[in-house]
Amino acid sequence: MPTLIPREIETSGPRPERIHGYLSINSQGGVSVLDADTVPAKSDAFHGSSKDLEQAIRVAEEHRLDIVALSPLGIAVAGPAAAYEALTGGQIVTREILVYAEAATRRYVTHLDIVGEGQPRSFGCGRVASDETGIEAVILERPRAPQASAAFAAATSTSAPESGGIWPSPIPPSVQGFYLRVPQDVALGLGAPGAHQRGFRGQNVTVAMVDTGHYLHPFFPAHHYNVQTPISVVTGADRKGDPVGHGTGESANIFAAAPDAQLQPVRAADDSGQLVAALAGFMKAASLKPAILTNSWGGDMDFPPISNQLSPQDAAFALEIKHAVESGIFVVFSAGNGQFSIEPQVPEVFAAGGVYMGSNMALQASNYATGYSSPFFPNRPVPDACGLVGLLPRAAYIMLPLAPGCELDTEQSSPDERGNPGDGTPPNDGWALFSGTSAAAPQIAGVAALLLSANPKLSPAQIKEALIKTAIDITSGRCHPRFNFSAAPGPDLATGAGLVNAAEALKYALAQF
Amino acid sequence: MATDFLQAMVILRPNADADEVRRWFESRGLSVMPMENGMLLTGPGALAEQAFGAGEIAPMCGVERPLPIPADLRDHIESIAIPSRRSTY
Repeated sequence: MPTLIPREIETSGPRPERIHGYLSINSQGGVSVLDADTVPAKSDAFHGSSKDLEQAIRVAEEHRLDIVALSPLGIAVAGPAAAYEALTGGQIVTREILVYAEAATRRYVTHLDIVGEGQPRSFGCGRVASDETGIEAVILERPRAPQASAAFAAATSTSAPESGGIWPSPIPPSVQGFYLRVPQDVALGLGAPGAHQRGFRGQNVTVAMVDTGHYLHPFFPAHHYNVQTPISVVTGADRKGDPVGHGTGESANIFAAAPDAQLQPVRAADDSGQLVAALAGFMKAASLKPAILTNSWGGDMDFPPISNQLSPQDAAFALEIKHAVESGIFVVFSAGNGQFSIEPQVPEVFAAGGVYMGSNMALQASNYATGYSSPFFPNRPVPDACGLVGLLPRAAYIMLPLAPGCELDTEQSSPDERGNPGDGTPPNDGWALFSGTSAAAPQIAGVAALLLSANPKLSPAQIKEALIKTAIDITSGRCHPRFNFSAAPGPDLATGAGLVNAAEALKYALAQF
Repeated sequence: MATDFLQAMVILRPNADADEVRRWFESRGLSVMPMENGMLLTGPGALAEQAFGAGEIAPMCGVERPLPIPADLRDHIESIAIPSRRSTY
């Protein structure tokens, strides 16, 4: 059946530690269950002999498969993927398949298949590798959804999924007030359509993003965005999960600028959503040698600092960041939302600040974004230039996709502790209004991907030069009150060179390098 | 209570035997990522706390948390600290 979004997505996602399956005993009727066209009126012909059943039990035990239940037809078993692979000689792979799940809505659910030479085409089925096992087929359990789940219906009651609809919806909700939508409004604000029309869309460029994780929201496959299976550097954390929603949502900014780029998410958050392995995530991501590495995170130190001397640990990490750039990676860090941190100050980094674009496309410095002159590195302004960022108090500005009911989905929908209103979306619909310089960094990473798709030989310094030289100068507004610098004609500490402009940066890069 | 997952940065002395330091931490169940002038340790908080013989060693906001240098490694290590807490912007 045709679907508006891909029915099946190939992934190389993690396999469950324990897989449930079924071993079909050799059918005495002579026709394997794998070859049966119909289910006959009586099951007798598919019963196994007691000899084959005993042999199959031995084989299952030899392969360290736990026997859950027995019948004359087969054995329900459970065990690790490796056990099934040894038994079949095939490989267990994961696929995300769009299925009717709870409450008659459709969503992606992870399925398992056995692939390899000699394996049947039937999804989830395998043949055993050797004779004399008593087993004619290995069948992996398919995910089953509870029918008319009351819990699901309650959880989604405020987002009201329609029967047969895809959940969460790939289409953002409409709320009152002015805000930007991905991809179209963000692309427009960054000047990306002009580059897209010239055929440069970020193709063949990998952008790695270290963040809280990445949830497979239907928004991404609906737009045919290329998201690689996430990597987690946190022991035990689900590679495919994102408890906060930050990494999922902010990554949509990359594709707004560069729809054909390839995203490699690197999860550095634990299951509570704390960014416990940001440094390790950065080093892991850099080791993958992506063209671009974007980071929407940092610390928060005293400003001005007590000492102008970096701590050994900050100096060591700054060296790692420098090394990544020296190896050819264009590294972007968010300047901060009032925070002051070492990462964006590293001179070779592209520090991403914030500009607010209003409904009439008027531009001003975002008072949500950090701006200062580095006390650690001479003549180092932060930011270099800006992406699109909302305003205080909440910067609820870009409608972004995330895991339904995750931390940001819930938080943004509610008034904050000072009584500022929520974003107007339900707390569990998989969409929320947010931004911050966390949005600016992936936007700039996306624009850099456009330039690299036009000229893959551009160095990080050349990309930086093209973005800075062609940014739109911002002359009004102030940055975050903690720093309180004014935007003014020419470069300034509120917005750096201004708002990046993809089309102009592309022209510059093609003409100059 | 042990933090679930920790990262700690090791700054080596100029003539340190980095392999010996790496083996020492790996033998205690921690992962080691080499850095330009040191190494980054990662792993379950409980293992890290055992390795350093320290109590709770969760990261703090804005400042690094120094850790005691294991006696076996004093000739090789200049300092060890848990980096200040990072968060999303």
